[in-house]
Amino acid sequence: MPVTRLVALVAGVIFVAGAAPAQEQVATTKTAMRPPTFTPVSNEMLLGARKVGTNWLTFGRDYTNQRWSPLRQITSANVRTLQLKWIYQTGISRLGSFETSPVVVDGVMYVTTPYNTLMAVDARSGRQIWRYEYKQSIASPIYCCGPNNRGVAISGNTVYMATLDAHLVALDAKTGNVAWDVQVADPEAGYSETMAPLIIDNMVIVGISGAEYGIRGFVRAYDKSNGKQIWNFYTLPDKGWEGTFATHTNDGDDLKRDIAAEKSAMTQYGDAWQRGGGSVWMTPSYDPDTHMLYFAVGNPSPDLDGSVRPGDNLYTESIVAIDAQTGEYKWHYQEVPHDVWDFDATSPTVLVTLKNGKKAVAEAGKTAYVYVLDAATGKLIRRSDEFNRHENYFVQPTPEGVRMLPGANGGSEWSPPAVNPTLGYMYVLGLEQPMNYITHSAPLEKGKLWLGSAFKAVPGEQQYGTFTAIDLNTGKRAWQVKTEQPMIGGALATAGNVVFTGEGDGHFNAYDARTGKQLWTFQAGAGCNAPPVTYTLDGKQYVAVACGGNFQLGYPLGDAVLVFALPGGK
Amino acid sequence: MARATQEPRHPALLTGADWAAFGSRGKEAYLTGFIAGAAAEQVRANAATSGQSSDSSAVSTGAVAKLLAARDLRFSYAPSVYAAQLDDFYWWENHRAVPIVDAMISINRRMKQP
Repeated sequence: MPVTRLVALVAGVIFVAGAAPAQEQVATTKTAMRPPTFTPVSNEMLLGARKVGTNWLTFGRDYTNQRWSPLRQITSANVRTLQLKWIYQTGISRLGSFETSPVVVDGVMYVTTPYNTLMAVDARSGRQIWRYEYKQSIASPIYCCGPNNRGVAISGNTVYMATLDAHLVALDAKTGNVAWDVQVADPEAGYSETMAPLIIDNMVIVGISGAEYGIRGFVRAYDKSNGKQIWNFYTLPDKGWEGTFATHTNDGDDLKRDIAAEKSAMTQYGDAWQRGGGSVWMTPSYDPDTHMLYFAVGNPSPDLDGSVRPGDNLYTESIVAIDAQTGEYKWHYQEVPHDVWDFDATSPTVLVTLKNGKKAVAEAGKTAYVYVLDAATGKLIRRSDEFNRHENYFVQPTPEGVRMLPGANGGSEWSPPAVNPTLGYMYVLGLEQPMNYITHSAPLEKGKLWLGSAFKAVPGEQQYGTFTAIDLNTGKRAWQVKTEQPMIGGALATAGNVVFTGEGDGHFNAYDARTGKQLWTFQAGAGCNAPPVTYTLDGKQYVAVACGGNFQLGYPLGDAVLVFALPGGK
Repeated sequence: MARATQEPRHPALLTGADWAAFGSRGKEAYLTGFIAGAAAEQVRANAATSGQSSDSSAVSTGAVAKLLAARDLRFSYAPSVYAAQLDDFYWWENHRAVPIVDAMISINRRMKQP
């Protein structure tokens, strides 16, 4: 029996007997609250995480990245009574988009913030246990899209964080003391890290960001015990980067490319792969049965000027599978060859099993489609219905501007989706942002510059968000909810047939996983633009989410992690 | 026959209009030269400040490498990074007349702010 329950029982007996005042029993209970145990996280725990709801051990909860929990204490029937239990305010001095997905191990929650502060927090009470403030190796790291961090990985008694200045840091999970710190890449050449690492066996896996600055992207494995590199996989191959000069996407849309011009540019720009981008923004998914590692590769560099990077620009805008033991290439599926629209594959890959028993990899693109691929071969099984509208898809820019949907943010941005494997639904966050795609000779306009790009929001046009359930077995939209603002952050699905997600205006919502009916909401005061997680302590289910907004979309910033549970009880 | 010629302008006087005409290879070449020159000048200035030679004889690859290792170079980012920043800067039409050198100094100052 958990200690807290035992203490409560004893205190209750004393109270009934009149042997002690009520105030004393409260104090006794508090004093005796079970301290965090700092359970070492074994490979067996990581491999078995899918079936054990207690903890949230890795970014996507388990290796599938489904963000699905078997917990069913909170259900679609009782979620309306969900209550706030505690708030942890990080107290960081510089706010930014708060995108962390907490990792929770037997009562200890690990939270990261913009600029790489990492805290261990008592997941029962919200009390801070330790705090580590990373000192960037250069005064001002450069990075696309904000000083973000999306979380940690944990193995044994070590917690791992990748940093804005492209370092990988290992810390003692009990104390926050640094065990080792390696530079993954040169931050002054534009490399940066925002993703949560992934532990596989003796390795810690990271991808790299920085494709807005002419990097050559990669995924890399380090020895988790000492930080020594084990293997490296470049997301831009030095041979065959140009691909087949595809005139259409693999799913049939005309790319409107000038293939002749591209081929003639090969002489001058045949080496563009050396600086051709290909960020890996998000934590990969992994199949322990086949040792296949699946990840999404982002935009080529430069983002919108295709003239200096002729060819298909492999493996940008692709889903890629490699052998996790060796880093050896297995297959790729390119969503957008020769992208000049910033239609990144940014949202993380999710490993699912379809009704026919076939394993598949699903990814929600900025193209506003979910791609369902054969996990063994990469062959397209199906492309879903659109989850955001399309207009002038793959159009070329003009000086006057062409209205285009999806806009440069998608579709689905980096937001990790969730999956209910029983229903076969994938829950996808979408942005509906009509934009004008204009050449750089556009007249001066005052406003926020978006990465120097030629996408500008269409003045006066409504922007909104979507939260969509995609049936992975048919590709059809099962349901869709429209939100007032474009959606960014992430989702959580549970066996209680509840799906959680947050909005930029501070609402944190629960929906019926089957119908999309909104069942509950809470106003957090800052944008809930981070992926929620769930865990149990002493038999009680909690739901946690970071609500600190998103600077890119102008959502109110903050620094709070909020934790909810059903009322009463344990 | 006399022919009117245009005096080649000094590289330090080039502006955003020139930047737009460079092409990606030209941009990279210009910035590579700029960054190398800035590093050499930083070494020379350091030597002068510390009472050593005030001319270019103080400049050496080793001295630049020391600054690089100490992460103490004034223009420390890669050409591709500055190129992306300049592309952003010159996207604004009212910036086009600004000399690239001035834009670089301004951009670098902003990037170096902690």
